[in-house]
Amino acid sequence: MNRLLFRTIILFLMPYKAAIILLLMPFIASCSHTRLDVLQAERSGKFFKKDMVVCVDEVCDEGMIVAPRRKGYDINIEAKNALDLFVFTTCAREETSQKHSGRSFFRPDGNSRFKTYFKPAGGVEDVFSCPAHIEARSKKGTHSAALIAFETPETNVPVKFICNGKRDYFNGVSACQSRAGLTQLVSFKRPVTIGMQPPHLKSRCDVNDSNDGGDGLRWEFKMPRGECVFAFFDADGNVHRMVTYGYDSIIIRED
Amino acid sequence: MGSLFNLLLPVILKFLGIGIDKYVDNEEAEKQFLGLVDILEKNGLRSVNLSDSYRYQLEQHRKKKSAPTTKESQ
Repeated sequence: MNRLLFRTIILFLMPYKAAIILLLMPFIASCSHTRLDVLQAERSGKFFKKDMVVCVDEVCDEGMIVAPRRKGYDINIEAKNALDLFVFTTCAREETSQKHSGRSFFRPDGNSRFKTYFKPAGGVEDVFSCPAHIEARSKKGTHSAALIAFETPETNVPVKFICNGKRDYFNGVSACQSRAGLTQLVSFKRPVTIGMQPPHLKSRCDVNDSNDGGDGLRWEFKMPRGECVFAFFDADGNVHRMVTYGYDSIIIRED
Repeated sequence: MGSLFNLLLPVILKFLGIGIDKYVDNEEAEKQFLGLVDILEKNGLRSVNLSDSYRYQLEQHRKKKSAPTTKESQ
């Protein structure tokens, strides 16, 4: 937008220097502002902050949200970029669509909002952990994303969470996003133990030594990189599921 | 005629500039979309990875819990 404004001003100020401008035009145009750097960083394994605003049944949050157990969900999203490619993924489905950008001559930046209805497949998507990942990508290389964690029947241990510096209370499932390495805190009313991570995730998703005081009530940990899930068990076998996402970087948006 | 051309020249050049921009953007966009495939392939299994990890933890806990009971019964 800036380069267009810049060139328009020059053109109107210098109508008789058309030949010079014509010569300069390809060079100005070649300074096209792209987001290849974001794509390259993503490809190299860098994690970006999930900054899509997602509303599940009128409850909204940015990046990560926990949805109570229901038969179906109204999902409204507001991406931070045009919806040239929309991807909705769970543990059992991937829905993609390229019809929502709404780009036109009068609206070159396109549409960034989208509404959908999600009905979890019984026995697959409504049991255990099957979060939904929502991704919106624009032709210019930017993307915004969100994660929805769903409550499931076995999760019923409440928790107080200080996530990214904000205090929040969750029932059986919690979700937290913060920069990787920052300190987070979860507190339980009754002592809990933490589940054992699969061998391939032991080094990355490790908060085992975070139990403050060893009483199983207070867990202070450094946010692990990427996505992790942790199961906490009380003495009766009740479970709390904590989904975390530690990012390395944010995407700076143009106005 | 000449003055009309001079008057319209900035407008013509402006549209020409927009055309060039669009062309350049489309070229870049096409490259980027082709490059997206590997990222989407990688991202496609994130949910199932979390699901597997969670199931593993539940399973390990169940095994751990049932282990002493088995010993006692023996």
